[in-house]
Amino acid sequence: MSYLELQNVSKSYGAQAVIPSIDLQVEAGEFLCLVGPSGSGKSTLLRMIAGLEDISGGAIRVADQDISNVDPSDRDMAMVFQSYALYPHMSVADNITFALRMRGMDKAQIEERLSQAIRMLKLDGLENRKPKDLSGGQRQRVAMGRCIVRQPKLFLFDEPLSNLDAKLRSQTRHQIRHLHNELHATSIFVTHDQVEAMTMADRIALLNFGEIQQVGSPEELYLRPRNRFTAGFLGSPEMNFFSGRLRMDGELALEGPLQIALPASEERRAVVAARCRPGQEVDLGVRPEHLALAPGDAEGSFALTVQTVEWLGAEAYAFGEMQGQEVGLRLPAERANGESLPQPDEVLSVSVTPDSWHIFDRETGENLALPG
Amino acid sequence: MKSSKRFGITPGNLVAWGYALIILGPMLWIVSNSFKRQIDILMGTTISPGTLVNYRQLLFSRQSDFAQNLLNSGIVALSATVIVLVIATLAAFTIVRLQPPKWAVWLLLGWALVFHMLPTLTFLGSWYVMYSNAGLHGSYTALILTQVVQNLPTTLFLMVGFMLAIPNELIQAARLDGCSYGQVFRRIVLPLSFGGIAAAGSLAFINAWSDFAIALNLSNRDTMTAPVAIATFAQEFEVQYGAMAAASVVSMIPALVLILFGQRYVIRGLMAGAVK
Repeated sequence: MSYLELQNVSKSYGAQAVIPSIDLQVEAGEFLCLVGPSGSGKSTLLRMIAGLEDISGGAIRVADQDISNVDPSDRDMAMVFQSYALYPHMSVADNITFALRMRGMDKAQIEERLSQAIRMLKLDGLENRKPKDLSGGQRQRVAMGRCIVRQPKLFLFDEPLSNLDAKLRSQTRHQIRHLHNELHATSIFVTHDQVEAMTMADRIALLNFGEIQQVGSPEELYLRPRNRFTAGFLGSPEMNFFSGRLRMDGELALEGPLQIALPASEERRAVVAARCRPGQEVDLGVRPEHLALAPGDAEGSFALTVQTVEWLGAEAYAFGEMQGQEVGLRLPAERANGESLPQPDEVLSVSVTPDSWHIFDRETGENLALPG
Repeated sequence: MKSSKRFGITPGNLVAWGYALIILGPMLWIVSNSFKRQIDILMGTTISPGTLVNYRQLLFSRQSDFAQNLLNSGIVALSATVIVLVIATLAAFTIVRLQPPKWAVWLLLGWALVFHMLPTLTFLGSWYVMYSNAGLHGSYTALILTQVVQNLPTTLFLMVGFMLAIPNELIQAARLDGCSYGQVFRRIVLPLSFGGIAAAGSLAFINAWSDFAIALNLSNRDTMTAPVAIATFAQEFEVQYGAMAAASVVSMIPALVLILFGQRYVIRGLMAGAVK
């Protein structure tokens, strides 16, 4: 039995179903990220777990107890809000200890937990300040402190990093993950930022239109996306898509406006053979790092006219347009620095690396290169 | 800001000063009259030796009940303000955060709006009959209740504005921290809406304090409020200008004090929701 279980949980506003039906299990000690584009229902789902939104159907169980109809004040969950939601009329110390005081915990214990949290979050000396006198990062830490002292059943995070600047965001990311490990907490973290999800999560649940597209480890979602949506959502720059028909006699290849060879191992060929028929209309998906530069005359390679180049220091990407959409590739090390970078209008010959590609059913979006 | 810009002759400043003059002119005239003898006022003397005779008569002579009238005004205005604030604050919290059925909200706010739009005089006749039948005519209860009804709509709208300005996430955070809605109200909402309460309270108090129409119809000799008393200085054969002016000045003081104290809250209160 999992620690947190969502069974057929649904949510609708009037006739409109925002979340048709979701099943999800979270193990004790796990860090789960709920990711998805805006409007995918991830925040709603989190708020339903917290009890801030009623559920329209199904059940939520924590530690084998049905909490679907339990008042949020009795659920023993702590949440970090996007806006932090610090009580503006209370000092940092009062903010952090508010929940403990509400519960009538004894003073000595409150003091102990407070000083522990202050130390952990490096808030020393700020105990008596009001939230308005704190920087964004400090406020964020106070919001964390408010959760930590409670030692709740579940930590809920609702996009808590989106108000921080880029540098602070990555620091805080590490800090949150570190705290999670140290406290042996169970956390659910909502974000629309795939980098946050990839770097922090034990498992990611990817949502779109209120439905779970895929649940799994970051590697699983990135390397073995179950459908086109997952493949396109994770990864930056985005996965490249090419449409065409599948050629299965001899070598695998995509036939369309471009002829693209799809080098594959025996296993992958077997999977594709089992799941696809020759001539099937598919979308080919290849990540920028899975495109390689090939000799100009290599069979199954295609020509990409460079439009822009992005040099990021450790790596570089070249982008061009093809079939009306952008195609990006990560440049190999020898072309990724200073003078060797491709220039605009330079034509690169590009091929797909073995076994790294995916083919998606045109209709269902399902990944046909994975065993069914 | 440079002082030259602040007080210089610009069209905006001229309008502001002109407007101030329209308000301040009669006030200054009344204040100066209150320090003049009746004869000087009647003669139209602009500058005359100052005298406190009007104030002395008004507040300390045995023929004058004005001190009692002031007390009546205070009792009525203060009680009405407290009751209005309690009702409006709780109602606003309920409307804004407890998600009552939509029709209930519309009914309440719709009533408040319609009631606010109708002139007070429309209701006076009915109130008079109702209180007379109930044996309450001339009582503090009648005056206070009527002031409550009169001031509730505005106060309710103001408090709704203030409640909306308190982010919902704060309330949700408090709920997750273990508060019932009652505790949320006491520990989070109430401290955070102090400004709103001060603003709405000041306005309600000033309104009730300076009301004339209701008090004229529903009070009697014992419960007569200051504005009604001021009107009695104008009698059939004699208008006691000096006493009237002095009474006006005295009755202005509480309102002035409240405005000086509460104006920043009042302005913020009236602007709540209008600008971010």
